[in-house]
Formats: sequence, structure tokens, C-alpha cells
Amino acid sequence: MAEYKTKDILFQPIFNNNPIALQILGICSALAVTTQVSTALTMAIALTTVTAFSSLFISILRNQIPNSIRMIVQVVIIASLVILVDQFLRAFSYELSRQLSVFIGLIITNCIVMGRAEAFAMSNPPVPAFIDGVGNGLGYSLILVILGIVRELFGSGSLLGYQVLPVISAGGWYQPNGIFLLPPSAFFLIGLIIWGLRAWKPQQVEQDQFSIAPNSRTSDLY
Amino acid sequence: MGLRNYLDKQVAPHFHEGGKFQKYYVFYEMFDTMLYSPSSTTGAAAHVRDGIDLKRVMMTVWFAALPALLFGLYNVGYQANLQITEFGFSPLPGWRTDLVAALGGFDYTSLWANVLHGAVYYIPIMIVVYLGGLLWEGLFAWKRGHEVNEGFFVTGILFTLILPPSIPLWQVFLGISFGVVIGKEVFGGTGKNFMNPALIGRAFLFFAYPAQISGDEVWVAVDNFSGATPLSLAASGNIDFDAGLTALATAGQQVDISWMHTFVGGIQGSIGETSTLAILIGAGILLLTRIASWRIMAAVALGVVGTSWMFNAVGSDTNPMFAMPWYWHMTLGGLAFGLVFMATDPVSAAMTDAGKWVFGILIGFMVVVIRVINPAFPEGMMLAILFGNLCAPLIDYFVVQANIRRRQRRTVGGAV
Amino acid sequence: MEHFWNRAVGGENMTLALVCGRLEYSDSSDGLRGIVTFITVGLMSLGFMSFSDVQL
Repeated sequence: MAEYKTKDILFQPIFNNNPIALQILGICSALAVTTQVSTALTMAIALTTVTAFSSLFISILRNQIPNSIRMIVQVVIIASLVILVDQFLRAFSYELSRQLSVFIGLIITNCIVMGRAEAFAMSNPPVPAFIDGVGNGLGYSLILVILGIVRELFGSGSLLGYQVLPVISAGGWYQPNGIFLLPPSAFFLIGLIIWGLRAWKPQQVEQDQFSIAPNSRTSDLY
Repeated sequence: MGLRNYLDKQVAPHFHEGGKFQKYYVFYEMFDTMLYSPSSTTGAAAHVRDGIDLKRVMMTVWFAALPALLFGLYNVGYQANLQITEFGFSPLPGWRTDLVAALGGFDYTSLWANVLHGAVYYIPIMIVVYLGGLLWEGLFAWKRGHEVNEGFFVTGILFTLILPPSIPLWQVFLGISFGVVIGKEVFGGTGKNFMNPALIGRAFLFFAYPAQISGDEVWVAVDNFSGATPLSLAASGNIDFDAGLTALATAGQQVDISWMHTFVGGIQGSIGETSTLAILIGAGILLLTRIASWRIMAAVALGVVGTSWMFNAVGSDTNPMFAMPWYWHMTLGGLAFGLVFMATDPVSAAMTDAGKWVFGILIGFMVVVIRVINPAFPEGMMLAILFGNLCAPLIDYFVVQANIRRRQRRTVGGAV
Repeated sequence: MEHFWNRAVGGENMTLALVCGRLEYSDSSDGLRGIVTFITVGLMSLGFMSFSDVQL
């Protein structure tokens, strides 16, 4: 197994190998919970915790897990952690837990968690596995929080519930843009974020499956 | 040819390879082809000799939209002046009102006053749409190294015609930006999009700022006015379809809405959609020049007629829209405008001939269904066409597959 | 009803696949290649908004 640098394991997933922006995983929750910063933030913390600790425990047990039933073992570990997080939220922050509804529970099915368990934790020692989980959680969190900030700011003129842009209905000047509260906006925003990221880091650009012949007068043909 | 010479000798070299402004070639090219039609032709084989090109197609559509535009200009002013002089509403405060008061007054019987009052609302919208659109088109063309396309002129004018007159200009800018960038340019520009950019711009505004583009208050440009469009009047049961005349019972509804009235125009609504007659003139131009597909137009009409017959037959005690006959559907709201100018957009419609029939009938069906059974969207045309655009590739796929199967049966079936 | 929704979602996927098929001929900027699908899905969900709040 190749040796990883701790710094790389932690920071690679944030910009260079972002689970949402490059691997296109975990989109479902990114659409559903990002109308407010508070829910996005809670979801981000919950997922980071689950990914980090599931990677840690799976990595500790990796030599004991029989290969043929490893998926079941992984799911059991992940599910226990998710239930822990869910119960914790219900106990200490019931309102948020109600807004997030099923999406905390659905962390079990989030491909990022399973993906890290399979791709990294099963073949690496506990400490790098834990850091890898944190790093991927942070990569997910970054996109989620950006989405949450943009959608809450433009959709209702507030951040974390505090009114930043005074809205017209309350005597201010800002006209809230309703489309940011609808799911389609998250698709557009994720698309635009990835566009920006790839303009910044061109090595993430995908290869073209088909290329059309140049047809413009400004192309090399003329 | 003085100008041609001047452009070629004095201006063009700066923009070509090695010139000072080489980077800005697309902008030069844009103005050059606006003035002169380009002389470049295909060099290799597979020619079609035809006088028609993208630019001519687009200009024809532009002229076809002109009757609706001119009538819209008049109608916006007429509606506002009527409410001001007859019913004592005050005009919206601002430079527009000052200008109208200084030049024409608010007399609703005077053509000049009406057109002027309409123009002070329409012209700024148009300027914003074209500046905003050119900004994005130019930016993408410049960065991507393709040419600015004439398609935008059509998108622009259609977009202005489906807006309410009193919409704030910054919203107009946002709408056209969204339509042009997300609806068209991210896919690579004219001809590469799969939905109609003007409608995407309007859908964006519709979901983003519903208060400024739907409801009762936006259709006449006067202060504190609240008057439903005939379509929402029909939805609330205030139009008697059999008598052909309205029950003018509701207070605040002072406009006569007979069927003829909705056909000729002079009702409240988006700028260009009110006069079915003016739109029909445009349809005539498009059909005579064979730019729009008659199949799509006929199919949409067929779909509307069939579906509204179906609803008429089913009937409902609580929902008056069930009883609305097809000829009312045709003249109210944006149906006629969408039918003629939006559904026939050759890029986003179905490509196969049989597919065009299915595509049109689907739109006609959807628009009536949305209007009748979806109270959230009193105006169904926009969403119906967007839905049709989505399904167009699906329709084409099935048409092509059916064709392949038929031919296979003909050859293989004969042998076996 | 379950069956109906399965069919509906299946149809939606097929529509997406075919729209993407049409987009083979599109010419997006390099950074957007592949990501155009996101925008497509966003636009499609706008198109499907017509089914929200249907009352029979």
C-alpha cells in the first residue's frame, strides 16, 4: 500500500478530489438540506462525524472482517453511528432534527461514507483512515455550506436566521428570490460551483466523448 | 459601397490576425454581419443552394412578432390610460409618468397617448433585454471563440413580449441573463440548447419573483391597481362562456370581455400576448415563409380542442374552468402567442414530422390540463411548452425507432 | 400507485438520457463538460414543476 502524507489525506478531498464536485456523490442531501445555513451546517457536521468514525472503526476491524460479508459489517457500523448522531440531535436540538427529518437517517445510504470505507479504510491503518474520513467530510461540508449560504442569503435575505439583507416585506430593499428555495436552484448552483472549480483546476476537466469539427471562422481552418 | 470599403480597408485589419484588437474580433464580426451579409461560403462538397440563412430566418420571425409588439405597445398604454382617466387611478410615480404627462397626456381615446404611454414602459424593457443579452452573448462568444448569433434577436423580442408591463427592469435583466446563460450558452449557443431560452428566462422570473409576474396587480401600469386577467376571471367563474359576454359583477373589473374582445385584444395580460388577431398575422407570415412548422401549430390547436372537449364533457360543479370552450382557451392568456412563436422554435421542438404532431398535441393537452386542474398555475402555456421541450427527444426517439422497425419488417419480414 | 411512480421515475430517467443524447451535439466550455447534466436536470425539474399542486 502506498504511503500517504497526512496533509494530503486531509486536504486532497477538499479541492482536488472533492466528493461532491469531482466524484459527484452525495448530491441528494446537498439538494435537500441546503435551503438554510443551519441545516446545511448540521448535516455537514453529522456526515463528517459519521464518515470519520466509520472509517476509523472499519479500519480497526479490517483484518477481522471476512471479505465475503464485509459490506454487511460496514453497513452495521455506519448504521450504528448514524443512529447515534440522530439520537444525539433529537436529544439536544429537536427543532433542527425535525427540519432535517429523514436526511440524517439517510446518511447510511450516502455514497461518500460507503465509498471511503471501501476505498480507503479497508486497506489502511486506523489513523490515516480517520483523517481520510475527516477530509472527505470536510470536502462535502465545504460545498454544502457554500450552497447553504448562497441559497439562504438570496432566497430569504438572511444567514443562520439573522436578517442580513433587509427584505421588502419588512420595510427593507431586498426582494427575496424564491427560486433559491426550490430544488432546481441547487442543481444550477452545484453546476456553477463545479464550473468555477474546474476553471481554477483544469486537470479535473473530463475528456470529451465526442468532439465536433471546428466550424467557426475564428478557428484554425480559416 | 463606401462603408464596405471603409470597413475592409480601415477597420477590419485591426481585428484580424496580428491586428491591435485581434482579441475583440467577435465584436467586429458581429457588427460587420449586422450591416452586410457575410460572403463566406462552404468550400467542400455537400452544398444547399438556398437564399435562406440563419439571419434571414431570424429577421422573419422578428417581423412576424412585430404586429403583436405594436399592438402590445398600444394596449399597455390603453389599459393604463383607461384606468387613469375613467376610473381615477393615479399613474405610477416616476420619470415615465412625467414624460407622458408632458408629451401626450392620459387620454385613452387618443392613439398617440396610448402608444406613448406603452412605449415608456416597453422601450426600457427592450433596451435592458438587448443590452443584457448582448453582454452575455458577447462575453461567451469572445471567450469561446465563436460568433455572436442572430438567434438572440428573436429570443430577446419574444422575451420582452411575454413580460407584464410593470415588471422592474433589474428583474428583466436577471431573467434574460438566466435564459441566455443557463438556457442556451452553457450548451454552446444557438441551436445547441434543448429548451426555449426566452421561456426559461420567464420561468426563472416566475418562480423567483412570483409577485411581479403573476397575480392580479401587475398587468396594468398604474398605482395600487388590482384587476385579474381574463384567464383568472374565467378560473374564478366570472365569465359566462355561453353568453359570450362577461358578468361584470366583480367590482374593479371595468373592461368589457366578450370573446371578440379577447380575440382582437384590449384585455389585460403580458405585453405581446393579448391580441390573438395580431399574433395570427404573425402566424400567417411564419407559415407563408415556411419558417415555422405548420404541423406543430396545427397539432397544438388540435390538442387544445380535444382536451377542452374532454373537460367540457366531464364537467365539474366546483371548477368553472372545466366548462371553458376551446375557442376561449385559444384567445385567453399566452396560448396563442406560445403556439405561434414558442412551440414552433425549431431547435427545441421535435425534429421528425410525426414527432411534431405528437409534440404539438402534447403541448396542447398539457396547457389545458394545467389551466384546468392546477390552480397553482393559472397560465399553463409556459410550463406546457417547457414540458414539451423536455419530451421532444423522447418523442423523436420513438418515431425513429418505429421507423427502423417498420423498415426491418419490410426487408427481414419478406425474407422470413 | 407505487407502480405508477416507478414508471414515472423511469420515464424521467429515459427523458434525461435522451436529452443528454441530444446534448452530444452541444458545445459546452471545457469546464462544463459533464456538468451540463446538472444544468439539464435543473431545467428539467423546472419543466416538471407543472405537476406540482395538481388538484383533481
